[in-house]
Amino acid sequence: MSPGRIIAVVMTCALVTGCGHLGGVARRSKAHEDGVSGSIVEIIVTYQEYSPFMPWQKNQPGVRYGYGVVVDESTVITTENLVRNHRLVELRRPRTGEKIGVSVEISDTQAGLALLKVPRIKAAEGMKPIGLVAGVTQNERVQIYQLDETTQVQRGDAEVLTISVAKLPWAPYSCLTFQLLSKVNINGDGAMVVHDGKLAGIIISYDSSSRTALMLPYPVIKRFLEDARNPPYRGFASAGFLWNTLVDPAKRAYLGVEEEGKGILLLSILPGTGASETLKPNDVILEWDGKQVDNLGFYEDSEFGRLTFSHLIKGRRRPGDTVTATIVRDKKKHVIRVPLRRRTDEDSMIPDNVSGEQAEYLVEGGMIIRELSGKYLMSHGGSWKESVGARIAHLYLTKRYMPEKKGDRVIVLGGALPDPINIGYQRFRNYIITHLNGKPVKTMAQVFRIKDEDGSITRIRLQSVDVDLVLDKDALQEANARLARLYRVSRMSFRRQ
Amino acid sequence: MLVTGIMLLATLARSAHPAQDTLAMAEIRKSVVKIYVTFQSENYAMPWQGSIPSKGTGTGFVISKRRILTNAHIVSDARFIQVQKDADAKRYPAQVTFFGHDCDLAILSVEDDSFFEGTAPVELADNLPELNDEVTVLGYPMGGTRLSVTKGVVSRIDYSIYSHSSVDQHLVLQVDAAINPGNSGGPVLFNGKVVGLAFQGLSWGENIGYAIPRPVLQHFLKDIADGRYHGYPELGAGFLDTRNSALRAMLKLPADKTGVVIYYLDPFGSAKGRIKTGDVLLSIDGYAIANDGTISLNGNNVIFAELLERKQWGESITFQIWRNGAEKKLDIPLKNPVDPFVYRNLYNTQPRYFIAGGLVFSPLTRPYLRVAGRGSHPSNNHQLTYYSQYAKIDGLHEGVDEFVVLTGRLPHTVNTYAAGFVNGIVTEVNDRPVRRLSDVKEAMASPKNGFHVVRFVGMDDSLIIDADATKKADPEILASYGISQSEYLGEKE
Repeated sequence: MSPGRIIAVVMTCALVTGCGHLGGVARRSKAHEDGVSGSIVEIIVTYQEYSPFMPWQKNQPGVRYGYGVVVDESTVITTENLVRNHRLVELRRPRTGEKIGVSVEISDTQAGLALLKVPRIKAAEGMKPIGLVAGVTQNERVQIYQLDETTQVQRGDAEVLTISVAKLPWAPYSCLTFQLLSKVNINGDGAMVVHDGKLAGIIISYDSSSRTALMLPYPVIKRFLEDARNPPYRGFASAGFLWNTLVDPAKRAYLGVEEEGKGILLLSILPGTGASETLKPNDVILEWDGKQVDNLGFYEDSEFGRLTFSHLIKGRRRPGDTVTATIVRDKKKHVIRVPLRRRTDEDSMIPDNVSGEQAEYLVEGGMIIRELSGKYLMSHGGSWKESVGARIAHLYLTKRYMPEKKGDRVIVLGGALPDPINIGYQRFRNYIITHLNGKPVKTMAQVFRIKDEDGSITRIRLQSVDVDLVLDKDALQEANARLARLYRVSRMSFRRQ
Repeated sequence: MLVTGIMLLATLARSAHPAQDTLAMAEIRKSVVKIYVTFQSENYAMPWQGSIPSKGTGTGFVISKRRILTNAHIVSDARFIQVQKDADAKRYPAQVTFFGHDCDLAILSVEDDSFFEGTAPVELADNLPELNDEVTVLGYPMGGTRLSVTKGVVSRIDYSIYSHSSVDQHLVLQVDAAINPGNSGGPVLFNGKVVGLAFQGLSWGENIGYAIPRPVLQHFLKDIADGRYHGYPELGAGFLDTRNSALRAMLKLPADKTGVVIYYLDPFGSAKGRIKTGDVLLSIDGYAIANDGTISLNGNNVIFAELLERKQWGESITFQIWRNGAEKKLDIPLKNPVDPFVYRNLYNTQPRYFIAGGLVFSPLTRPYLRVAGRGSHPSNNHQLTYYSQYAKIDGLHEGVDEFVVLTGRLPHTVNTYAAGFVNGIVTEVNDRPVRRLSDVKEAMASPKNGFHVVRFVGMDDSLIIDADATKKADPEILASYGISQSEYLGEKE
């Protein structure tokens, strides 16, 4: 379908209905489309994940398609999940066939955004950067841009339904999002959303049954770009605590909270965050950074109305800032200062590793020693809790953010590659390792240190198995060589630098 | 033609004397009885009331001392039991005199002696049949009211879980004859003697039936000889085979010695305090244990624990062990305390509970785990699963007699905000540790600053309800939800 035909259809429609206003909209949109259609590009990503159970190898590669938005001559932004585990990222401009290889400069799972660098080559010329919109509010109309199967730009109207802090679809983080009601079927993540000829956001998910889409809006993109343009990239600030609503009048009375309708209850404070220096479980937050927080956790945002207060942290502050909070602790009011940091997955006892980074591991005598991660657990499928056992499931579900000591992880025996050297031990799978060669282990760094110092791992102690699994030291080297050959283990260990 | 062929095959397969068999059958069928049961299961979702009574039938057979041997699962939770002989129109009321829930067996008695007229005790065989021996199953399966006879061969003899308790494992006789509901409790005959008692089928397998083999029947009958059923004693030891030469070297086990190494001791097991982790069990009652944990018994390689199966509660077992580089003899009395952290199915037990402020507290039990699995609060279920499976392994049981769970909420304004805590395991009420159900009640007698504060495992948030409002709400809640008793804390000692 050519752009001319789209116009023709719209015009006919206007004539039939006799609605001059509609025709006017179509004409105005055409002008905008001309102005912004050079800002959308198709992104083609060849990705490949690590094999969850054989971390030395990779799965069959696949291809994902989506969109990117040109924000300056050599920079394109897109969604983080699109470029996850990328091996090759290519860009294609509308109505062209050339694919241009691009590099991923920044990929932030917490923001759901990625930044791509485009080489300065001829094929990339003519891309038109789009500026960010000054503001879009609820019930306003926006236009969604994407490409059809012939790489023509396709445009459709949408309306902003809801503005809220919601969980990102592909990562366990919350962020300011706009929910849109779309008139077109959106065919890819990263589709460009425009208002008044400026970028309003990019699409991160779409539900064709309800025709609603989730959009990462311009304020998030703005912060991401500001940060990216002033390296090093610092990312978004995190609250650093888990909280619950505080509606229950009995609980409010028990905690001595007198303010009607205000305050949320802190449940636990995540170690390593700024909150852990000043906040405590059972603190009630009445005000945060100058805003009143209601008992469901909302505040009144000057721009977007009622929002979950975490936007005050992630959206309005940066790591390194310090904010004031009014709290009730032991029935008394206090004003405290809370330094903000960026909490990362690495601070967890069991990192989620949603982005699927390669896991550190060591294969010794066929025993696969590795670190527990959310990604690994979920690789066991829908009934992962039964597969990995109730103990590990419980540990993940209740304690994953809470290492006893900073940096502590859960080291497990992922299983054994059967070989004469590990006879008798092959049934142990997904057991927590407490000691190697008699020394306690809580991190993969310790595992590698023990291997370096002792030359080999010959004794593995599992939780609640009070006998070491012993490997024959003299036969180990030969067994490792045999295992590597037989099972085609390309590397017997992976150690992050 | 076809019929002849089958007859011929059957004759060939039969290993005993046909004439004798027919004669025996005529005698035995008089002693195979049909059991009519009305039972009422407990309702662990609403522990203050029972569920709707249902009816069932099963089979049993007369053994010595005017007893009827049958499955425990047929007569569990029974409210009314009757028995009927094959050629008798009369049904006689019967009572359960012994239950063996861990082996799915029960003994019924009939007060009216005239019931036993014309019956003769069915005898247990001296030995188990061999594989491929043809056996006969008698019973009253579904699809008719009269006695049914099916034949099949013994296809396997192995260990399996007994689904009645769902945790106990014993020997099982697998027969390629269909065992259908109603067949349960019927005798499995070989050469006119009982080699097993039909007890469970396989829902996904065709023509596979399972029977409780003679040794388990014998064990049960011997156990109740003193007038009480004690059950199988538990050794309570986890072991690792020593096929790995490096492990044997670490244990300094000489080349001529074999056995298994102990890595875990159950705090409630007989072995606790006698066997240590790291001990190698070399032999059991004189039978040498191989590196893979088997012993040679009558020419078969069986797991060494099979010898434990033959032991009665209170008997001893002798192990030759290897400890710290030396051999040692250990006599272990097989007695162990009642273990509240084994989550068996429960029968004939009224569920315990305590209700305050519309919050229903109950001990963690297997039937409740099933209720929780179907329930609408899956977010806390992983706690229940973990606690039921790892109670002793991870020492979660230390200091408690049972785990107390908030099993329900009867909605009322006093507990509006408590919904998220359902299926949580209670650790404290009003700053007092909860070690058993009655602790909840006692702790609620002293509120904290006018509130009841309930804390749970793995939850940072606490449940808080107003103490006075609770007191006021209690009669309202009980009346409106039709609860006659606010608690059942168990039989008074």
